[in-house]
Amino acid sequence: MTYYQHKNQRGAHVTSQEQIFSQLVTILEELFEIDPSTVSMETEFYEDLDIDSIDAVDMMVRVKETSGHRLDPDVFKNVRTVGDCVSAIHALYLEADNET
Amino acid sequence: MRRGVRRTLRILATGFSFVIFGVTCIVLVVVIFPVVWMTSVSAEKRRLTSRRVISFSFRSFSRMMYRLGLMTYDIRNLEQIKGGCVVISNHPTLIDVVFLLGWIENASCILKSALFRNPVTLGPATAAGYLNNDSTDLLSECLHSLENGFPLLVFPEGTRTRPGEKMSFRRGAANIALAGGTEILLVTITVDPVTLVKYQPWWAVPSRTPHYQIEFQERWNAKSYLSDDRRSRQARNLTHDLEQYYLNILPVQ
Repeated sequence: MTYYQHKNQRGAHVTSQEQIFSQLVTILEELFEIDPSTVSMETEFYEDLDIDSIDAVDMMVRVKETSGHRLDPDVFKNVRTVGDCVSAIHALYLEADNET
Repeated sequence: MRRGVRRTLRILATGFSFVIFGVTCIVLVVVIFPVVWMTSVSAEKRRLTSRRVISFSFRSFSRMMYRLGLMTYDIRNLEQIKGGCVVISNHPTLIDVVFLLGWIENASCILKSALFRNPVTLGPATAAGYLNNDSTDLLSECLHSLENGFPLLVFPEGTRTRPGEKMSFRRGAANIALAGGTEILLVTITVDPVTLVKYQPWWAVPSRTPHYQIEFQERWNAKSYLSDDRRSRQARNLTHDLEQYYLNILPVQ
């Protein structure tokens, strides 16, 4: 199986924000039956999707399973929109890449 | 004229009650809790004694308000209180928690984080080990409290009911009951005429003495909701049914 991933100058794998976004949309659909077409980067978890903090914990468990990255609950407290969440996860990928 | 004088007296008595409430909190923190602290053998025992002290103070406070002619109250079906269950209630007024913690002796309670920043309420809330709704690990703290066999009081609306608006429940209480496998005890509070509601200043006392009715209605077993395979759907269904129950029996005030 071939799969394409960008590589940065140091040769590490970089997962793009778009990929993270689509992973997140899949998770939202799986866990909460949220129609993917209604989700954008500006969508707010609590206001628009009715996702509360306990739902968010479930979501973060799934993120950990799919991406291997664990988002700190304190970081997640400041996440309002899907876009915030994507950036926070993206930051974890970058951090991990820098370490390798 | 007579009516006006009576109303002024009730405003003064209300102000007096507020002062007493604050002074009691301070006395508890400065005098009583240190004694509890020194004489308790374990942290668990300390929290429990503190809760009983708070419960006693709240019952006395209710009786004081009654004697001052500020309200009458009627509390029904107290025998429904037993063991570790999630106690939920609607939240029409400022002093609902005084009745509920006053008559449910060992209860823990989820409080909004503002009460942990308020210098008057911080001390008692901490001594009794009440839970902060802002905590990252709130769910496991709640489950821990239930495992110890204590009732846990939650106002599913998260704050006082907005007058004239339809109640809206958050899903925390349902999630706690589902995760802990405990029963839910449904309590209703009505007050007529309305007083101490959200956005209303404390001195806006009603023209006649308000009557509080606190009713321990029924216990629900959350188990039937567990048949759904998704946790998120279980919590949503249970919350929806609880909300409907309250909307059916309580008029919008």
